[in-house]
Amino acid sequence: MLTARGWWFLAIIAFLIVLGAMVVPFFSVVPALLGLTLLAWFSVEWVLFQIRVNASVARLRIVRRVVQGGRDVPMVWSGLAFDVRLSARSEAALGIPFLVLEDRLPMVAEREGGDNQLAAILEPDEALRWQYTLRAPTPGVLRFEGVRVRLADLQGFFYHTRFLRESTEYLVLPPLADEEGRQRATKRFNTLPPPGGHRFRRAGSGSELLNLRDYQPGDPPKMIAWRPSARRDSLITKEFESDVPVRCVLFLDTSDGMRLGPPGNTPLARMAAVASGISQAAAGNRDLVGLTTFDTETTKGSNPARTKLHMINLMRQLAEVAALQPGTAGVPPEELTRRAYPLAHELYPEAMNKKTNRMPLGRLWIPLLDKWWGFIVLFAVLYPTLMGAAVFNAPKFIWRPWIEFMAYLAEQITRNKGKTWINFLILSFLPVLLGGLFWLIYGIRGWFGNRARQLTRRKRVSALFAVQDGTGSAGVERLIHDDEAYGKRVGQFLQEHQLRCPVPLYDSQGHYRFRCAEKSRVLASALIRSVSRARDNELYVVLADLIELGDDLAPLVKAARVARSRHHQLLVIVPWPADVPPLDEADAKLAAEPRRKGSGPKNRRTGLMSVVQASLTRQYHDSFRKLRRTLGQVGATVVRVNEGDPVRLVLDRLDRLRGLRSRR
Amino acid sequence: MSDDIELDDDDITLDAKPPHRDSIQWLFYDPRVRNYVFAGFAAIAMMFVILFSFGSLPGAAMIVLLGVAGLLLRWTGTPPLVLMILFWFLAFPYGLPPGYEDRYEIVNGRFRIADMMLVFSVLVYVACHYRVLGLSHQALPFDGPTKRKGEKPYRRPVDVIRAGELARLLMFAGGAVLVGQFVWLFVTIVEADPGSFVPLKFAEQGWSVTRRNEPNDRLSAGVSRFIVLTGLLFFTVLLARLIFGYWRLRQMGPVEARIILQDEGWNEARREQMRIEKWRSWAREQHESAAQQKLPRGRRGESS
Repeated sequence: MLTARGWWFLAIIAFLIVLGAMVVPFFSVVPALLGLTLLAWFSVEWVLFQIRVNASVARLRIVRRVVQGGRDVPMVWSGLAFDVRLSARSEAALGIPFLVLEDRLPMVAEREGGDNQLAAILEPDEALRWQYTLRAPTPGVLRFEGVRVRLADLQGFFYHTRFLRESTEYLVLPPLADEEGRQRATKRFNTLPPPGGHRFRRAGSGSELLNLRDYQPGDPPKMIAWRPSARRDSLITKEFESDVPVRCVLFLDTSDGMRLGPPGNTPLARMAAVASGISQAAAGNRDLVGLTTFDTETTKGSNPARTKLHMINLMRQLAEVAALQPGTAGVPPEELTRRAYPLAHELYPEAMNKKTNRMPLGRLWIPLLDKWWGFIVLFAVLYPTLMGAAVFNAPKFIWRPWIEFMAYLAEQITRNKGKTWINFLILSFLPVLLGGLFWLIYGIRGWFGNRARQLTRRKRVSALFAVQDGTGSAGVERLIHDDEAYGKRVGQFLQEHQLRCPVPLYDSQGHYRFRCAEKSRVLASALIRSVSRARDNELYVVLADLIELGDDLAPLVKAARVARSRHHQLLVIVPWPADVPPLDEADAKLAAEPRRKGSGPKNRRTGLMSVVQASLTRQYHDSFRKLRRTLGQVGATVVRVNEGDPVRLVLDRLDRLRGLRSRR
Repeated sequence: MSDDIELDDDDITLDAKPPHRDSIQWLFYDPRVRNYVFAGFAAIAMMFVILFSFGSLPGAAMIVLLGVAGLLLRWTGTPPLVLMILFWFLAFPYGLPPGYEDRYEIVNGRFRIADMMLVFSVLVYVACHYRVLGLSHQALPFDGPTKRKGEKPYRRPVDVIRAGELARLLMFAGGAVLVGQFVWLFVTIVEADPGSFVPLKFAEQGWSVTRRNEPNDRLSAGVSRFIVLTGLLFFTVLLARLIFGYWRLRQMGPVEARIILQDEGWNEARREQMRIEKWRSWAREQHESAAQQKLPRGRRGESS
């Protein structure tokens, strides 16, 4: 509450009052008067500040609106700017002469204009309004946490900060397929195109004429072609083509490996954008599109459909998965605390306060008896007591040799200095002193250093989680002791508030931790399930990172074989890391790169790095080739998508795979 | 086209770009800031005049130099220094002890106009200096206990200065001077009486002079003043703490209230909970090591 300036000023006032009233009043009463006057002024300012904090700030209400395209929206489109309009109003009758309101920016958005911060005077009957412009570059979830209120008096003696939590989430939908979508929409043949733009040359109930044939009893009269019938003098029936919509099912990999990378630029976000483009383009052809998301354990899907509501739900689903973050398993608890504590402190300042969320010194004390050798120290401390008890209660042969040995030792020492009985006492109580001192030093170490800071922070964060989960005081100690539970809970907290935590990519044995081999099995079962429910020949588009799987691809290969045997098409799209050159480029680069000369340490290091990088690149390319060959053998097509690949390429491939040129 | 237009230097009268906030010119650029600066200067001038009338020219000169420089250059430590210098030269007007001792100073010093003017000036100067600091240097403290790398101090925008802010300050200052005088009057006319039911009584006339150094069986005037002042401060703070503490409890949010309750429960039961959790950890480790040993030798590393 009091700032450093305030404390200094209060100290000066105390100095003036004490010396002015006690020491120098017979020289001058002005110092005492000055001290009392300044104290009166300081007190009035404090009282006013307290009233403002308790009356006005506590009753401050924030209203947020998100405006895109001139109207309030419940969700926004990625890539397009939108305005965030805020208003703050206090229901109290007292104004605030100076306060700063700061809207906490969502993680995945970029500020394009305006200021999310406002310094203002809050009058009782007036609302404060401010606005700024944001843009979300990628699909995901925008989370507005709330508004931070900072309040100070005009002199800077007092300060108060409060966070008005007002968590609101807005989905950032993938961008509308601009070029592709519009092209298809404007070139439609009529306002209501037939379901599915793909001709299927079998008699059906379509609108395109397929054939004329002789009338057969039972044919509906409306199908009779009267003119040919009149010409041939026998009844002729019209047959129409069957319009069969192509059903396309997208399988999107949402496993942890796809969630790695900077926020908004993960492979998952990119694949979600690709999936959105494909689904919108397919919907433009009135094809049915379904989406199945899967990870290493579960699948979640929606059946193919083509309604607007379905498309919106699909977009929502894509936006939600694009915001997923990798799990925090394997991250050291200290690193998790380092991320979670400042965030918790910022969002829940009242719950992370030292006064409300305390850490007693007793909890920081390091207990000696946790170690097995601590009992030796305990024995040393209790040694005289035990010996006394033995002397009075136990048989002589237990204690006599030891006592005689101690007496002998005391006598030997007495030859140099002191008296025998004093030396005997010193020898008897020396272990107590040493043991006690060791115990004290050992335990008191917990009050200082990094351990104390880490434990205090972890306790505070755990207490907040226990309050949120309703687990009570038992939950606090559980989270302090159980690293796994703590890591999981912190991961959930960070995911909820969209804060990324750096995760180790390799385990202690050097294995890549995000290979997620189980997803092959999950994907295979999802694929088989789709095949079993398929009506006609369908197109399955798998958007997944399968390059690292190697031999674990077997279940997927089996499922792909089943799909192909039922005449379905399978297209696998894998993400391509930005720092790995494409196959052709890499070969050309390796061929064109001249050998570096020099043998200095810098050159050696650079050379080593380039060798490692080239090796990793080659390994990645080999894995990709192997994947393409393995899946190609069962009739699936594998393409890669790196950052520059537009959706158009994928759609062309889709069209080619369907064996039909698009209408463009 | 632009060559055809010739402007004299006199034609350009107004510079549209405001001076930088750290510059001295900025203090005089905006009238709202200028008011505070001039009020601070006026207060320093008044202090100079009154100290000069007390015969303390060196002290007056030092305060003027320090005060003006501190205000122009926005030194954060100037007000405490000015107060220290003022204290010294009020006690010892000529700069060195011993000062001029007056046995009746306490009695004669009540509601003396010059003293009130001096105190008023000091208060106005201190308030103006700190407000100018808030506008040009830092209005809100840093987020952490220390300044983080790259963190910029937040300055109060000039637009947030309310109309009539300076007038209100002067009014408050006048009120505070009167309150200070009344408190001093109270402290000097009552005497601490520790043995009685109400430990205060009105002192006899001239007690501060007669009982200046008489600590035998009764309290001396100095000790009595100390006790009265401490008691006054204690009970005022206690009352304020009770009122605002209770108000604060009424305003408390659910999260804060729950965490306080939970913290109390945790503090009561933490030793037992710790023991249980240690047993759980131990059991888990045992279980993991047993599971590890059951695995074939080649796969032990993989399971970790």
